[in-house]
Amino acid sequence: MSSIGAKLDAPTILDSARIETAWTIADVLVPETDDRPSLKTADPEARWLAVAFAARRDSEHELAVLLDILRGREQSEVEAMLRSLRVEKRYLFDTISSVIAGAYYMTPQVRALIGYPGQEQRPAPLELAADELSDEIFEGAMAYGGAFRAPSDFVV
Amino acid sequence: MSVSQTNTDVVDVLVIGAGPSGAVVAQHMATNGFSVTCLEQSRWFNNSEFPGDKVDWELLSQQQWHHEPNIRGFDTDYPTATGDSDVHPVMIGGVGGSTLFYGGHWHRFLPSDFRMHSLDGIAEDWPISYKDLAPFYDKVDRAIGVAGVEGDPMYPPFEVPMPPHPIGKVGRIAARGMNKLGWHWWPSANAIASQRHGELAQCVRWGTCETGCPQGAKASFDITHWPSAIKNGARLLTNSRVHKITVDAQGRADGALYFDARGVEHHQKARFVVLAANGIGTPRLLKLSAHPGAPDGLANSSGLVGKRLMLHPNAEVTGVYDEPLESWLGPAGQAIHSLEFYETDLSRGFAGGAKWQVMPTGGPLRALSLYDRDDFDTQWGPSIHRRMDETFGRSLQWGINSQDLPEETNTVTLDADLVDSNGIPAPRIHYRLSDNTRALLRYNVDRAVEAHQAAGAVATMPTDLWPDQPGHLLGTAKMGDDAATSVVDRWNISHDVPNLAIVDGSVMPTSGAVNPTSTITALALRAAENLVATAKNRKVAQ
Repeated sequence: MSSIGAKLDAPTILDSARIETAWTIADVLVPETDDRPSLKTADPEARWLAVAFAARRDSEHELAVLLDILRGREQSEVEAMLRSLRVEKRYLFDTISSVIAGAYYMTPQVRALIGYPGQEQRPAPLELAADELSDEIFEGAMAYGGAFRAPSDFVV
Repeated sequence: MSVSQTNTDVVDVLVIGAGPSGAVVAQHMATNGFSVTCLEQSRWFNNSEFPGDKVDWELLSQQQWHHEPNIRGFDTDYPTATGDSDVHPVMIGGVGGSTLFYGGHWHRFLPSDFRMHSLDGIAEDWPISYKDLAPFYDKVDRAIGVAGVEGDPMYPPFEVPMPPHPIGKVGRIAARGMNKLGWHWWPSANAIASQRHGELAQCVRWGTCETGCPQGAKASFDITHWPSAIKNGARLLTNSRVHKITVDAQGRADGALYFDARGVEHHQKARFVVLAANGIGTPRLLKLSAHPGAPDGLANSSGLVGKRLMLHPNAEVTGVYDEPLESWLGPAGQAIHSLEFYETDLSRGFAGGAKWQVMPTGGPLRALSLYDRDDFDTQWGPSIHRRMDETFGRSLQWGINSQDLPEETNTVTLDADLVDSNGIPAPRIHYRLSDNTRALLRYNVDRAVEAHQAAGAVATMPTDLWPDQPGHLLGTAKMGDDAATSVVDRWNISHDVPNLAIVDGSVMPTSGAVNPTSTITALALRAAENLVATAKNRKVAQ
């Protein structure tokens, strides 16, 4: 598992009410389906949600205001407001949607479902590059008939 | 002059800017026994700071580690006024400069890039040729450990010192399409260590080169050159922001005024000044350095300082494939490149060309962003899971780096209102895409769609113009033999100020269409070797 870059020791804007609101937003943007969990299911302790919000501390005031506006509303109402936000305040929509989706795709359960190992060190074996260039694909590059243009004063 | 503190030491060489070209000059001059001081507005960055090995790296890259200084908002960068610009310049201040954030795509110019006027009757020839620069390309390539494959038919022969990186599934799929079309491609050269090399670690393929390499494997010049420069006696002062190059009674450069981290102003005296602040920082500082004998800016008798800005506007086409490509895997870096549409062919309806490169496409949020221009229901809600299944790990990008022609209407000036954290006027960028550039981009986007289709893509998603790519800042202090029509001579020396050299991307008379850091650093090394060789006879400040 990679380390976390965001500073988690600073106070977070997330309290229990805002977490519930964030989960409702997630139910609109990245909902549970037959083959995918909800964010609340994948991240029941809101650990990854906290990481995602901390990574965008630059916008925490705007995000806190938005969460408070959406607080306690029905999912259908939240969805309508998010659709309007996407049209009227695209920057804020992009920020909240990337934080929610960012949290969702950081959860180990979802990563396993989409086949994403996350950030990991994978130094290439020395022979891999040569192996990749040892078949007919590279022969196509070597058979290329074009060349650079040589100016009249060009000499090798 | 009223300054709080004056450093009484007069150094042989004062370098302004610790980016790649400043690093090359400082290292070479210090190694040859000159006293060297470099003033850098920003700081050292530690590899461990960069987000690429962190689980939340995509979110951190959206703001805190964004490549656009206006979004990132570091006090150590200067802001740019971009209201009049189609492209927002990207850069980062720091030891190593924008090589901290570059992708390490390592290309030398082609022979034709130096002879655009002779070959096509457009723009100007450079006063030097490919042959003049080739030995310096070779030296820099060896110093930084360029990894690649020799024999690219679109280049004259040259040595590539390190074995290549794998081109990966993305490279092989893209190559398949190019072979079908009979178009040029080649495994790309990268300034990224495929094996340990000097101070560089081996690449472990984080795939996040453009937000800094957490591994220390990418050849950023804080790693490749500054340790050696300092070991050989160069003095590097960070958090030292220059706001004026000073001159003596003869109009020769005799040092620079700068602010330290506490905002205290200092004057560093020098016999020779080397400006290495790149295509926006350099004209900004020359204009800030106006004096009664040079009211339009230092070294600006030609009137060309700050004009002819070239930014290599980028487009891209992402192709989605019906097979897993592990398209988050680095280096990024470039897997393969194509110069099929590089050389000018006026029958296409435009001058100049483009370099293409295949890059991986990153993590889940990047995959999701491919649908930013679609409607809500295509991108979000239950559809998001199908979008991710279709796209994530199954896409590759043909990036298009275009040549733009030098135009005096594309400029860097001083903004009347915007200032940096020291209160120094920020640069105002006026940059508009010409009809030629628009036609060039449109043509290449159409061809890249064809390349994806030939490779078997099930969908293609073009971006006609990337407004915040790349960080190629060129042309604003043109090199030439005629003082009336250029700012520096063929050895990078100012025509007006005989002890002032400009060694960054601003000196390029034309832009080519390949990534410029190889050429910038080769020019800088050539200039530095010439300074060492001619130092005894050079006019300097007294």
